Parts: sequence; C-alpha cells; structure tokens
Amino acid sequence: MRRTTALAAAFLLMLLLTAVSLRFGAVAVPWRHIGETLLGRPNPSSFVVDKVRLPRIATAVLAGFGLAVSGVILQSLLRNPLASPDVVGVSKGAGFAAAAVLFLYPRAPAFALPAAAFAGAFAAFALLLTLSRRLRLGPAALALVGVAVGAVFQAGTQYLIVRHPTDINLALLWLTGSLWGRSWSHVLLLLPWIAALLPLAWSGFAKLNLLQLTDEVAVSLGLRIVRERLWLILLAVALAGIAVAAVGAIGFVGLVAPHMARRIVGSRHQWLIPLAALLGADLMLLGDVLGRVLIVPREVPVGIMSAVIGAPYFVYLLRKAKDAGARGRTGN
Amino acid sequence: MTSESLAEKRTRPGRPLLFISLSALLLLLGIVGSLKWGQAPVSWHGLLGALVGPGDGKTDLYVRLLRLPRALTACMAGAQLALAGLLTQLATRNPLASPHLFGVNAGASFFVVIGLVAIPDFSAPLAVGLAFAGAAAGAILVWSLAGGGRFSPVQLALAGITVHFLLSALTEGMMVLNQQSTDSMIFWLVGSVSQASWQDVRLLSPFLGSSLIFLFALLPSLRLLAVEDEIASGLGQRVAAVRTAAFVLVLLLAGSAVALCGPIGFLCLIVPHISRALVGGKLGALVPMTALLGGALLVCADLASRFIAFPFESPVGIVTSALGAPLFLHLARRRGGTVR
Repeated sequence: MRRTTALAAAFLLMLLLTAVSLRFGAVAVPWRHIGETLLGRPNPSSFVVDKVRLPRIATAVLAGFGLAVSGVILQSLLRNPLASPDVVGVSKGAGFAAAAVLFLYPRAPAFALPAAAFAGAFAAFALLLTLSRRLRLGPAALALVGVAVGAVFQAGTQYLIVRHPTDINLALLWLTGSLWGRSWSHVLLLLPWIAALLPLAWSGFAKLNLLQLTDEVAVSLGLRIVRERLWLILLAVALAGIAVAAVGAIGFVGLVAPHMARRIVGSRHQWLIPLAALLGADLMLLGDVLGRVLIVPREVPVGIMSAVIGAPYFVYLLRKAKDAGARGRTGN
Repeated sequence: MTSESLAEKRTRPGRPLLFISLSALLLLLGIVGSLKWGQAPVSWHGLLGALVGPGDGKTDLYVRLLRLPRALTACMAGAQLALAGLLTQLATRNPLASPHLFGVNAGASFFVVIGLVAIPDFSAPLAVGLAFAGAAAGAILVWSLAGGGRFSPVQLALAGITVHFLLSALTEGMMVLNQQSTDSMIFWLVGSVSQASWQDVRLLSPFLGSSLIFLFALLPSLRLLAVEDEIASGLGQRVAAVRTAAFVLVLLLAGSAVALCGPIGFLCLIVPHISRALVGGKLGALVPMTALLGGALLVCADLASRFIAFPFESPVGIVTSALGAPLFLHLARRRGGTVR
C-alpha cells in the first residue's frame, strides 16, 4: 500500500512539475494558452510551449528515467552504494567524446555531438569489458576498473579543456549537463531507446533482487551470474549513454535517485526501478524549472540545480534513516 | 574483509620489503630526474654542483629555487593524498572511497571560487588559506551530517558523496555564471605543483610531519576500522574515537595538500589499491608503501607533465590519471579477483 502511494505521489509530482515548467520561465505563459496549444489551437504562446518548453520537458523526463534506472542497476550489481553511471566510466567516456567534438571539430553538424557522446559511452564500456576479463572480476574490482577507465577519459577531457581555454564555457555547459535548446529531435533520439530499454530493465527485477545479495547466493539459486551481469550492465550502459548523449554528463541524478527510492520502498526492484525512474524525472524537472526562474534571463544548468535541490532532501532522508542505518546495505 | 586476509596469506615475508624499497628507489629516481630535466637543460655536473656546493649561478637558481622545492612539494603532496585515500577507504570500508568523500576537495574548490569572484585582487597565499578553510568546512559538514563519530560506513559514504555533489554543483554554478573571472579556476581545479616554492615546502612539512606521527601512534587502533562495528565495539568502546581520529587525519593530510596543489583526484583512490595488491593488507607494510608510492607517482607525473606538450607544462592532475590508471588496470587484470 505504501509503495503504491509512493509511486502515485512521484507520478503526480511529475505531472505537477510538467505543468509548472510549461507555465513559468523567462516568459510566463498563461494557463489558457497552454491548454489551447495542447489542443492544437493557434495562440500567441504556441511557439514557446510547443517548440521550446514541451521538448525540453520531454527530454528531461526521459533522461531522468534513463539515468536513474541505470543507477539502480549498477548499484545493485556492483553492490556498492557509491556506484552510478560515472563509476563504470560511461559518462566520462561520453564527456570525452563530446569535448573532442566541441573542441576539435567546432563546425560539426548538430547531430554529431549526441552521436559522439553515445559512441564514447560505448567505447568506455568496451574498454571495461576487455580490461575486466569480460566482467569476470568481483564486483568491487569491477567498479575500480570502471573508475580507472573513467579516469583515463577524464584526463583526456581535462587535457582538451586546458589546451583550448577559449571554448571552455561551451564544454563546461555540456559537462555539467544542460537542457538548454533541446528540441523535438532530441526527444526523438531518446524516446525509442528509453521506451525499449526501460521494460527490459524492469523485467530483470527478479535477477537484480538476487544479484544484490552475494555471488554465492545468486549462483546457488541458479543464476548464471557472469552472463546476467553482462546483460544487465549492457542495459545500464545503454540507458546512461543515451541519456548523457542527450543532456550532458549529469552525475547526481543517477547516483541519488536510486538511493531516495530505496529509502522509500526498500530494495525490491519491482518497486525500486519504477520509483527511481519517476524520482529521477522529478529531480530533472525540478532542477530545470528552478534553474530557469532563478536568475532570469540567464539559466543555471539543470545538472547543477538538480544537485543543489536534491542533496538537502537526500541528506534529510539519510538523517531520518539514521537509526535504521545499521540495517542499510553495506559496501564491499 | 576476507579478501584482505587472503591477500595476506599469499604474500611471502620478503615481498613487502622488496616493494617498499623499490618504490623508495622510484621516488629517489623521480626526484633526481625532476631536478635534472625540465625546460632548461642542466648537466649532471651542474646538478651536483648546485646540490653540494656553489655551482655556476644560473644552474644554481634553477635547481635550488625552482626544481628542488617543486620536487619536494610533489613528493609530500603525493604521499599525503595517498595516505588520506587509504584512511578514507578504511573508515568507509568502501574501495571506491577517496578524500573527496569527506568533502575536502569540493569544499576547497568552493571556497577558492568564491574568493575568485568576490575578492578583487585575489592572491596565491590567500587562495591557500581559503582552500584549507574550505576543506575544513567541507569535512565538518560531512562529519555533522553523518551524525558525528557513530555513523555507519555506508551512512558516511552517502553523506559524503552528497555533500561533494552539492559543493561541486555550487562551484560549477559560480563558474558558469561568472565566466570572466573564473577562467583561471579551471587550472586550479585540475591540480598543479608547477608553482611550488620553498614557502610551500615549509607550509606542507609540518602537516605531513604531525600527521605521520599521529598516524603511527594510531596504527594499532586503525585495524579496528576493518572489522565489523559489532566486533570492534565488543573489543572496547573506541570505534567512534578511531573514526574521529581518522577523519582529522584525512583533513590534515588531504586538506593541506589540496590547498597547495589543487584537487588531484585519482591518485588518492588508486595508490592504496596498487599498494595493497603489491604488499598485502597488513597496515604495517601498507602505510609506508602507500606513502612512498604516492610520492613517487606524483613526482614522476610532475616530471612527465613537463614533456607532454613541451615546452608548455600540462597540469599534473591529468598526468597522474594517465600514468596511474594503466598501472592499476594492469595489476587488476593480472591478479584477477584478488584486487578488492
């Protein structure tokens, strides 16, 4: 019962934030105009609503889904509360490829950036696969190899940034994650992937419930852990890769949305995955709308705002669970 | 920590000593190398002259005033960061932990960026002071949020990573919104020892000295951190006190190093793992190995950073990742599942 309530509340919050995002921003749009645009009737605000805010909101929601679910999978597989899409080097690989495009081919067409970021994410994953003997290492060693792979890519990104100090701002904007200027083409890029991958991830809930225990338990219950792990990590990488390609390297959502969800509904993935996805979308939307109205006409990137908003709430959850803290999942 | 006891059984008695002396040798070679090579050529003869007696004026200047303090700073900062990383990993019982979990890096960065934006003529000594104050503020914030000394390791890790993200986001926000005044921040954020002077050496050495004494006095109690809380408190009430001590040590070690050299991230994470893979999990061997290897890695990375884009210098933080990551990956691959 409590779980259903939590899911419904997160979903309602998402709808509410969507409405607020449509309404407020650099230009306030009257509710009437929003309604008319949604019904397809022409009105003075239809361009802002249809071409600027709606695609932006859709991108935020889809990317939030992708990042949060990727975080859930990785935290359970690696059995480490600090795991997130960063930890397997995926966002770092994507960031490096994006920085390379921004700095070395500034005239590349618009679609090149997300394509390169996605390729970078998978390059990092391929490297992780080869270096970890196809994931046969234990979870902790696997996470460390991922961090090391990520560090190499991050060193590359930093090198590019330091060598091209004039274009820093653009790269910084991408590396912190931003929803600025996202259009329907970004939504179309995200939608098929997320729509296909989310159900796949959810259908793996039973395996994830076992894999978050020890390897021995998972094996004795009949799981072929190496194969399952490979498949689930592949899912996580694809989810994070596509999200990062669309919105930039947002780290906080993928780390904290799963923890928030876990504190609310516990560690069973049939509930955890949907709630984390919704909370990830909520975080993205909230960060985006506050970033837009805080210092008009400038924007605070969503990657920054979502962390500024989400961190205190997460700390509150942590404090609340302090007494139950000993029962929390232990690292290593 | 079964992995540790396994690693201990595997290590032969002579092995730790061999690797410790090897890394001491590497550190020595790195220091000599970074005195010898750089933008200006220095002959071996000139180097010797500058070190032991009055050589010719110009070489003297290079070696004594620029390269020697730089090498010493790199060596001390590397050792401090690596030890801080080891302590964090012990205190949180998480192999992915590094001092950034204690809010040290993000706190220092945040204070420095505020200084850049708010104070008109921002000078280097002021940056060092602010950075250390920021590191302390970040650590205290994590400390109080995690609930004082009685936190569970998971609680500490999560509170720490959240504070890290919060402060980093605020730093990035300041940078994005004040692009003109914060361009130079990028270089600080990557980390560098290229500006180090004797003043830095004098600043850093009391921190390193006092923390080392403190650390060795604490060494027997640190073993408590590796076992379950219940067992540890069953052996006495000291778990909270030991964690607090570890916290203060991390702040002293990492806070001062980050204040002087910027947040050099990867080194803190990876050097303890490399050391553990080489000498096993016994703290008596692990602590000196980590310190020596950290110093050696940063000195060598600093040396390499002078030649990657010669004659320009690359920030040492980048080179540390580029050198340390392949080394760690090689070890992880070779030893398979035993690197945990």
